[in-house]
Amino acid sequence: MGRHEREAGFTEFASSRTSWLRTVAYLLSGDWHQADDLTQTTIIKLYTVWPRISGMENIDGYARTTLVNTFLAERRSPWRRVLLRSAKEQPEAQPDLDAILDLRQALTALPPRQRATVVLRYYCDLSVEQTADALNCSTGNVKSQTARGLDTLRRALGSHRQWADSMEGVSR
Amino acid sequence: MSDDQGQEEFLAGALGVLVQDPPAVCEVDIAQAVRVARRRMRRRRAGVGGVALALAAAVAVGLVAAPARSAGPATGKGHSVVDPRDPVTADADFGWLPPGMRSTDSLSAPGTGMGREAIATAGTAGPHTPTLTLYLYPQGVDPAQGNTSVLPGWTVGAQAPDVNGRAAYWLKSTNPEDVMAVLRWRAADGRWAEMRAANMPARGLSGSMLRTAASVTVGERSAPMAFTVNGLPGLRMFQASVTVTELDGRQALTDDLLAFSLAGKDGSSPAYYLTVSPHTGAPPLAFPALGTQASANSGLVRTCTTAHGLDACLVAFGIHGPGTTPPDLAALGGLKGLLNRVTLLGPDPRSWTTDVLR
Repeated sequence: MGRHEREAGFTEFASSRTSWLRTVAYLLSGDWHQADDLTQTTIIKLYTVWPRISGMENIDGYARTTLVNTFLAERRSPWRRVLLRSAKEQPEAQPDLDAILDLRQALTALPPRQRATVVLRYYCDLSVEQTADALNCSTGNVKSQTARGLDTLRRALGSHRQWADSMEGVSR
Repeated sequence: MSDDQGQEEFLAGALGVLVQDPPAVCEVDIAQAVRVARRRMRRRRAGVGGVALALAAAVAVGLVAAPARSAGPATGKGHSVVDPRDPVTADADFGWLPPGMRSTDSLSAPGTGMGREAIATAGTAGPHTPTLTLYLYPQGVDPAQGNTSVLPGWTVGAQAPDVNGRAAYWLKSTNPEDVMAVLRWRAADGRWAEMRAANMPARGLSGSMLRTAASVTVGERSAPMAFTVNGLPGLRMFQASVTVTELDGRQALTDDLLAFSLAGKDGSSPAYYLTVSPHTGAPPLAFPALGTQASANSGLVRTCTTAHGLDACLVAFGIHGPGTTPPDLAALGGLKGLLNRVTLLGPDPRSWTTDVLR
């Protein structure tokens, strides 16, 4: 395959997957601007390995894993921790009941790996095995992360009834 | 259906709803991503190839050759437009900026020891205004070595992702009270660039800073000023600066400064300070008030004028009364005559010029 064909193939792939990658990135990061940055970085990484992966059966899976790893790597960096600590030192508005009921906020409050697990399992509809593959961990780890993530969301959002209320708020 | 199953089903639906309404503007740029990826790939290849070539050369000529460094792109976007009649230049400019931020400036003439920084703010400048400050170190200066950093108390921190294929790192402060974020990277022309973020929300900041850094263009350009000086061939500038801030969502001049002397035959020209600022009616604050002991001791005299919404004040030091006016200044009609050679262009940046010293 010539370079031009390869590039055309990549551009077609990236164009058709940008929207999807962006929504997954948003659920991971909780911020559309950061979602765009994560997606951009993911596309850069995919391009550099495109000759190797373009013949793969599950390119989408590879792209999704690249996105999740990019997100987790950013959250793992010491710099990220500094930023978060600095942010907490600044005066913040006290969260009110509405904010607590907000699913977006509850999701953002999950630790990165739990959030990634929840998003892969319940938005990307991956099985436990597929999620373990994407996160490069054991199925047991996925199960425990999922359970913890759901438990944290449950605590944040209260009863099933409140989840539904929150859902209605999001839909409006 | 168990409660757990119900909640899981609800969650799956709710996540779908959360992303139903993405912002219309998508900042993902596939073409740009491809360009960045290509640069990275070239750099990697150059790294491998450079070492091989250097080793081959060493063997061929029997010398110990240093491996060629992978240099990255040789130049930036190359917008070197310098007007020799403009004393103030900028080293670099912002490209993409986080939403709500606007490029302003705090620039000075090269070699005067004053700060030379491109600044972007979100709102009128103040102690709590979100601000990005961009600074370029001189060619050949590595701020991680010796005492060359302009940020005392900050040291090299975590490695950052490459900026356009060139090395980058974060800085960390020895003072836990510091919440400013600082990114340093190798610019396109080989100099070290430094970007400081103050009063900006932590969420997404590292990504925003990296993206901002990637779109910075490096290259000297003249900075337009809000006045011209006409017919003073003996003018010797020793300080000049332009400060542009945001006011009501627009760029607005805060202060232009030109400090100079006139090349008197006996070399005894006083120092003149011309300040140009938006008209407020208040005298300039940077100098001792007229009539005070301090002003008398320094031989300070001042004259001001207003035109096109700007105040211009010319201050001179070293004139201690009648009979002490230097002949060159007297020939120009005194301080008033000197100020008459200044033309004010107004507060709108579109009317400013780089053809300053005519």
